[in-house]
Amino acid sequence: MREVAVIGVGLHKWGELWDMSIRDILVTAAVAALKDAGVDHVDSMFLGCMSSGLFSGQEHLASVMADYLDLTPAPATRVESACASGGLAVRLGWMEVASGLSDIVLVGGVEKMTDVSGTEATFALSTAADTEYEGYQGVTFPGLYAMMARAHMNRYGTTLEQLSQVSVKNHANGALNPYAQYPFPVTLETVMNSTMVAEPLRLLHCSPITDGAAALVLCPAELARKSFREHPLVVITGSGHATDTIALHSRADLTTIKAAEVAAKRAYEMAGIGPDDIDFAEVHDCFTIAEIMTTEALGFFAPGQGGPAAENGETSREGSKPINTSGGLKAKGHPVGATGVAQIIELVLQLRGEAGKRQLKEPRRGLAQNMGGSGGSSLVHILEKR
Amino acid sequence: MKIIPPRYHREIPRRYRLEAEKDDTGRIYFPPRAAYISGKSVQPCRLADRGKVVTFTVIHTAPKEHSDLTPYPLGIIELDDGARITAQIADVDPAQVEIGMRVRIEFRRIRTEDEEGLLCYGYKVVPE
Repeated sequence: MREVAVIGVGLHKWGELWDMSIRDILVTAAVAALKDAGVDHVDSMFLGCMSSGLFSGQEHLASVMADYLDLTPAPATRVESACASGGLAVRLGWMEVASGLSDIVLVGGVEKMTDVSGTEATFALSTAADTEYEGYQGVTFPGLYAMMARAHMNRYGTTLEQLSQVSVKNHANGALNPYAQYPFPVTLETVMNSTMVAEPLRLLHCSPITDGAAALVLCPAELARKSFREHPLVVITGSGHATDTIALHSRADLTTIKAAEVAAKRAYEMAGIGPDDIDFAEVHDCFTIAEIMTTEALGFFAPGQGGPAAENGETSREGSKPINTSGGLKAKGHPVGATGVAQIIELVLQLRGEAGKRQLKEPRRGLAQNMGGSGGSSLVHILEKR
Repeated sequence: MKIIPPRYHREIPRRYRLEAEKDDTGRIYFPPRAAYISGKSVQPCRLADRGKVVTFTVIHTAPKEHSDLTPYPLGIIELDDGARITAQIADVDPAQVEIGMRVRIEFRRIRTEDEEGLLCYGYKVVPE
């Protein structure tokens, strides 16, 4: 397999973008990535999108992408793995370059979530769970993560303050990210007194509904060394992918996210490193309990120690293991199909030294963990600066 | 989303009669899975109708079809045969629900759709 480099990244300001369609945001991010890379052609495209059918009434998004980027007849493939669709698109793009099938691959992620009512958006998101045996009973996504939170609190003594501290920390990071939907800090008190959604989770423990797109350009590292020398070289050294049961109730242990643990193990093995070698990470904090559980599943903290680590500041930008320097899904926003691609962009910006006010001090290795549904799928990628 | 009659009808064996399958080790599959891939042989069985709350939440912001019930407790229930299901916990003050609480399954109305929609039934649990 060939080593794969990320040579271009493209984002735009996320939020409730009433003036922009799904096509507009996808094209904006893709053009930014192509310009950042400085490429003059694209061999193939991958696109992560969870549910453009339910959110935008538009399927066949691969053709839309190729057409509106004026890149037909290049092949384009749209993939779906709920909120991990973006991470899956990254993996498929990486596979296509690593295998030698294509040299220049564009990877995009998109979700336009505010063209439907809040009720319709909630329904679209709920289809990432088991529609017949969870959704039918009246479960919501906050409800599923609330049940994980309750189980984690019961087993390890994780506290509501610890869950809330994750939100405070991610908003503090998001305040420094010009692309974030909510670029402002929040206090612990505000989080803990926000509207109840699904006990014990309140509104500010939950990621928002967001319109957003993100894009990357990948090519063989060897070609990047020769022809794309404008940015420091960043390569993908590990990629892991795993599944778990669609229904939360079918999982033996409700206090861990097994798919993230297995995907991470596969990515670590490929990269030939372990969790201690990772300088910083972007993890899937769709709800604050998810950040606590994934930082444990990734091996950064022992089971039950994710909460104390968040509370002690270990996961802040100044801590030993900075988590979600972008603001995470919580503050940056969570356009589900775009999230997994945007996580990789934060790694690239940090590794290049282009992360602005939230820049970490010369990080060398970063990890991104993207999750589908309540943990029914997960993608983990490891990126290194060469 | 409205449920049309064929979709509702084909789930009746599970939702009304709790039909499941059990393999040689006693593990329950609900709904049944394609367990032949791992070489297991399975027998039809029916879920135990009693169990305990493993974890729970109280839903305050609900999907449209359930919004008349908020706030409603809902949990993951481990039945006495080891199978786990997700179900609403009815006939109880939400503040009184706790992990480990004993419950039993009852046949209840689950969702209320609009005038043209179906009345949807299935299982909920109540304190034992």
